[in-house]
Amino acid sequence: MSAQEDLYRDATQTFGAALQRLAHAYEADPDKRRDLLQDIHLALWLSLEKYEARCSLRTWVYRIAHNTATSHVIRQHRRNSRELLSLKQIEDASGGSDPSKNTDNRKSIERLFDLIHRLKPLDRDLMLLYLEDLDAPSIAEITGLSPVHVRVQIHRIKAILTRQFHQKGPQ
Amino acid sequence: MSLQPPEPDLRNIWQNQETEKTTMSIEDVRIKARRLMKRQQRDLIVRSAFAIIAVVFCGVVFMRARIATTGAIAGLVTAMLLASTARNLYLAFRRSRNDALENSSNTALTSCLEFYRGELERQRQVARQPLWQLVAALLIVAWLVPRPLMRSNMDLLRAVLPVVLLAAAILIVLMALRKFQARRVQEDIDALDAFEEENH
Repeated sequence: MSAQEDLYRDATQTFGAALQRLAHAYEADPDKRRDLLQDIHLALWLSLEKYEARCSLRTWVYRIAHNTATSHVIRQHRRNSRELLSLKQIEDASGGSDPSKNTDNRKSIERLFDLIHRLKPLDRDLMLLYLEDLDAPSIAEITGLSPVHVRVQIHRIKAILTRQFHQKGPQ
Repeated sequence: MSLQPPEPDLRNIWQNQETEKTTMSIEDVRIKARRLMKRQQRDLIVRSAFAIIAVVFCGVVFMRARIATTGAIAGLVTAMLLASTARNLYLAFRRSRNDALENSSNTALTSCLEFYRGELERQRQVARQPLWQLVAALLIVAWLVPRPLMRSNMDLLRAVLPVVLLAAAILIVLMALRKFQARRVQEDIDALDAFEEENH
């Protein structure tokens, strides 16, 4: 078995579910989502032929996935007129919290997807990497932002999520 | 009572959500990769064939219409265009052999920030490029078409004029759309600049 096959198997076993979540976060339409996921797998397979462990496999996989998905979003965005927002714009916008909607996990996931689909690609990357539980230095390595800036953005993400998903107000 | 931060729960919910079982086997991926490379080469051949046919056609039209001062100049221009097309074809073929491979590994070595900027700049280039091509095409058509038509037949000119005007109107609409698209991309680039300012 070749090194490329080993790496691909390792990557899909470890990050397969994360890649599916990412594809879902970047594409709401199921057919297009399947295509996007295939594109990510294809890009990953081709790229692993040149993998030289200059960065961790996780960074490699996430970069491939996020960058492929970014291309997809930009292409789609050109076709429809929906304006994408930054984390800052969402944070600045008033309202958004509707506790009555927070009945179960499924609703939370739906609302999360709704929120993520409104974000610009780079802000979407940050939000997803945060939700995948990566720490600030790892997010910085993948995105190319400074760790300090990543921390600022994570703070912003936390504020948005608190406002959007907090079930009960302060008592 | 203080606020309970909901983020850890959300991350947990996010990571434990149900996902569709759409895995690809290694064999599937390998077949698709092979297909992708073949498709890229096929596209290149088709595009090159179109370019050669277009150049030859233009050359023949120029020669027969005697629009150029002499046939020799038209022949020279055509020969230069053909040579340039052949050179581009050769270079593109050389690149295409490893194109998909190179692109994928470059994607992995590029951070999200760099990649996003690169994509936006590419979009801006694409949005701007046809504008100049269309303007040039419109000017050449406007300069070339009326004179031979007027020389040959005035009725023909009257018949052709609406078509030319319609084509010009379509070109103008296309140019406006391109301009709008370029402006949208520029806004995204400006927003990214501001975001990067924050980064430093």
